[in-house]
Amino acid sequence: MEYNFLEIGAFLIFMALCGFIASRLNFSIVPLLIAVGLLLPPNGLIAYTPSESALEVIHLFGNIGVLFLLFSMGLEFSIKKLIESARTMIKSGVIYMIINVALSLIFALFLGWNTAEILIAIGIMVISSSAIVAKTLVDLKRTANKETEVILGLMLFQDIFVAMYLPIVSAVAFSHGGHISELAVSVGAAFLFIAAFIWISLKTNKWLDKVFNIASDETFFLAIVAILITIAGVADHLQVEEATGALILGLVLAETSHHERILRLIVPFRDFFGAAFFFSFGLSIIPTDLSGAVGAALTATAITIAGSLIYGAVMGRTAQISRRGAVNIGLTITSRGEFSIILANLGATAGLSPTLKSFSILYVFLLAVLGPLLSKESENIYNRLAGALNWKEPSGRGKSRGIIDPALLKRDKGPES
Amino acid sequence: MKNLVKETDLPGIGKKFAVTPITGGEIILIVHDNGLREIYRYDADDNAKHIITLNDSEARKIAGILGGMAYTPKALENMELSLSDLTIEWHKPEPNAPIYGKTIGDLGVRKNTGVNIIAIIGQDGRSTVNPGPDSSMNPGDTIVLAGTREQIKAFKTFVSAPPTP
Repeated sequence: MEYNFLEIGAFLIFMALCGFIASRLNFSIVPLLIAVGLLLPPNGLIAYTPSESALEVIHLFGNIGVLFLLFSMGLEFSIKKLIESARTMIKSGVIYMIINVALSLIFALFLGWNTAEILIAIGIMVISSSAIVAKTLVDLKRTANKETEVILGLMLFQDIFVAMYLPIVSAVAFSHGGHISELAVSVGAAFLFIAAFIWISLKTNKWLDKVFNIASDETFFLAIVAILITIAGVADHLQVEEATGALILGLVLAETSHHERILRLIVPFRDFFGAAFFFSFGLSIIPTDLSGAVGAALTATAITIAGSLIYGAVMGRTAQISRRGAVNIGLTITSRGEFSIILANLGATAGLSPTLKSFSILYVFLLAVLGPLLSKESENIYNRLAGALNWKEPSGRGKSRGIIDPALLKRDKGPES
Repeated sequence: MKNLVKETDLPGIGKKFAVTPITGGEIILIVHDNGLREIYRYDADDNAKHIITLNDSEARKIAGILGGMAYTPKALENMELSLSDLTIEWHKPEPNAPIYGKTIGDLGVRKNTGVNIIAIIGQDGRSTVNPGPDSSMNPGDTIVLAGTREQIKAFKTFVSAPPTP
């Protein structure tokens, strides 16, 4: 096949431009990529039809991108870290799930969807984009805030939730309303695959360490990418969803001594292909198709923001975080991205109702754009809220700050003692 | 010095270190996985305010300065740095120590104590690195010594009372 590099180059230039604008505006690049992709041909405003092959290449980049995104997410885990923070994380995660699963379930039931569609809608509405959230926190210089720990803990919980939720949803979606026993078989097969994979890799942990003891970065990287793509392929054949395969491979390799080296090598690839993922999502949207879902998507957006704020308020109480922090939590976790797109694509390929497809695209688009905006404006929103509701912050810690206790100073004199 | 530094994981971002000095206040250091460092401090309303972002090499340079490797604070003229058996120590002998005016060779520093004098830092801040046996010390000089802990201890007693050759 002949490739039109001029067209591919033009697409990449637009992606790079998104990056420039994003860093100039101190804003997440993800919504820009989706929005610019939406405006560009084949579906957008400009009357130009790019060649099939150029579009194919961008979509291929995007499909690789989602693998890299989830693989690196898996690599960030470690079982030790998980166990350390398990108690607080599970508590906060369960609170989040109860609030938001309930709200989105009611919403989906109200629209009269079938089981598979309801499951996809819940997944799309419940799972935040850890990529956007982490990036937003860094960009807004909120990494040191107290509530940031709560937010990142929740992202971790959601990532684990996704690893278990995706196989269930894809089994249900592809069963085409088959008998419940068939369904049980495919869900069982998915979990068997995951369990077997994790078990084998835990057993071969030492061996894996040895195998990947490759001096050359080039060979090492090739081996990693080869395994990543192959595992994704195997997972796809077993209808487990490539993304799950990539995530679980990441989890497994996180336990080897090589995880830092892998992370260091794949980050540039994740950034490039990940950008292509969001961009190609934008390109695939046909704006005129979405008109039927505007009401549902707007309602769902409002529900998500409300649910997130409720969660923020509850966490503010239990984790003793200021009201300002609680508002920050609520507004930061509204961003939707990679997971919701994966689930939306899954719904589309499984041939579920077209309303669900337009709904999910519009909803993800709205919250990929609104999420970072709301996070950025959360201080102002808090001030407005505080003004309107007449909140007063109890300033407990601030008072004692900066006062030197002479007794303490005396006791600590002499560095050698 | 208990609980001076509290360490927390920030999954997907890096690590957070909260440092609470005894003089009050709290400094937050964020070490990003991509090598950037950020310093924050809490304001009166308990909000973390960003102070500065540093890249890896800048952060290391500043760490060296804070650690006293570039310039020793006046209050700590007797500073030491231990690397397993080797100790490097900055020592300022008493101004009336009976070693001034004589050369290092005459004093027989290495023969008598075992330490190596690796530098002499004069009061004007000018330093003689790796002084030869004919170099001498002046009152107020800071002497940089290398040796084992025992050898350095021997040097300290030696400079207060050197045996006549």
